[in-house]
Amino acid sequence: MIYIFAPILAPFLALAGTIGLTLAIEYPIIYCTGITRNGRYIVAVNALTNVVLNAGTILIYAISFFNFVRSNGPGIFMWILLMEFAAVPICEALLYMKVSEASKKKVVLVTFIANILSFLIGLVIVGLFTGKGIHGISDFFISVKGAMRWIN
Amino acid sequence: MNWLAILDVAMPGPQVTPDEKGFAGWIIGVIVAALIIVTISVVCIKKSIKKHKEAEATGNVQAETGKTEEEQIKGE
Repeated sequence: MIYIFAPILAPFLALAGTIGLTLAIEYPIIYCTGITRNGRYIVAVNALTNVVLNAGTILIYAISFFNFVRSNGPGIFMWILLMEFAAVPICEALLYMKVSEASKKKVVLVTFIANILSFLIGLVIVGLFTGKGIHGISDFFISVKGAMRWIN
Repeated sequence: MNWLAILDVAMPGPQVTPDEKGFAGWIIGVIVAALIIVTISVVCIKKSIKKHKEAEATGNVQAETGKTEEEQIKGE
């Protein structure tokens, strides 16, 4: 039984866990700042962007796991940076603008702040799992610096 | 039968370790889970936008919450 359910349930739980963590941080910010009071919409937007980000990260990791390329650790860092600081907040802001009565400037600003906060708290949580704690944040950016050098 | 046995066909040869097969199965699971979550999210987003546009057109005050007047009263 475990052979049937583990490969199906484990990815669901992993993705649902990351969506839950993101929502725990972003939902109150988006709701309380009055960007939108449509809870279902906030959950759907966050689930969509989060799944694309995390499934993409896992797929990039898989490429190096199966030795398709020499090492794509830097690729993962670039992907996370590009998604967390550009693609995800921009997509979320555009989606919130469709239902929000707030000004565009406010929507963009609040979405960016919410995303950067959830990214930093996510790094701390990953840091706790890897025994680095809050230093997980600086470790990530040191890795990014290394990745930049690797690209050059 | 373990459904991951399908990977024996997709990834033949002795060079593929059980670890790699397990991870490949997990990746398939991630893709399936991601597709399901993305589909549900897109449907919810489209529905909410449609509801919002309708509410805006009719001047309904419930546009912000995405709920109909009936749902709003029920909630209260």
